[in-house]
Amino acid sequence: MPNPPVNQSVQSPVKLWRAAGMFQDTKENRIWRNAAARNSFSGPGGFMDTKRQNPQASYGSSDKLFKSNGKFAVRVPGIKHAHITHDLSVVYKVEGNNIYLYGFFTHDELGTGQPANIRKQDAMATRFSNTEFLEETKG
Amino acid sequence: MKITEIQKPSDRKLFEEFSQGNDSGFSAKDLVEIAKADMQDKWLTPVTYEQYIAEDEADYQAWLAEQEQNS
Repeated sequence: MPNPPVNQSVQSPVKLWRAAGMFQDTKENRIWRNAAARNSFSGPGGFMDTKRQNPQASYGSSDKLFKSNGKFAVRVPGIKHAHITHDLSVVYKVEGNNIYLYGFFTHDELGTGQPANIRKQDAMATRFSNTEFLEETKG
Repeated sequence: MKITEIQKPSDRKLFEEFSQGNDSGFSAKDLVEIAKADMQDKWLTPVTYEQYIAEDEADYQAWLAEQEQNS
């Protein structure tokens, strides 16, 4: 059996696509300022290392699709998230050997991780709607 | 970004849409930004894992040096 080409034995076939602007901005602010997060994302045994072997492989139990009943998941089909630290996740999508990296986002900034605080979100949405109404009727 | 900073009507519509029963674990404003990035479909030149690691390390070291200079 012939040996595989050298580049196939060394390089991962995975291609990484990074959202222009957002990926770099969130990486600089949330990953580079946090050594544990950086190691968990791109260090040995981290998210990138796991996906390098197999883009479909899960990086821990938190690596999953956004809830299918959410409107966001309908807008962006196939989008996933995985915990990098307990309160920071990478948001991404996999298509074949292509990994689309959107950026790094925190949990619970608005208490969204807790069902009780969904009301807070709704209240903020209502407030937002009212603000829009007031702006439109001004003048 | 604060809610009052979401100016475009299309962004507001998305914000309201994602806020309704949001149990994703992420804030609606972040979901808006992610959805917008997906719709814009603008990506940096794709890289291999090895290229990413090399570039990230070089950029990170440069960033660290800059941080030290500024401190």
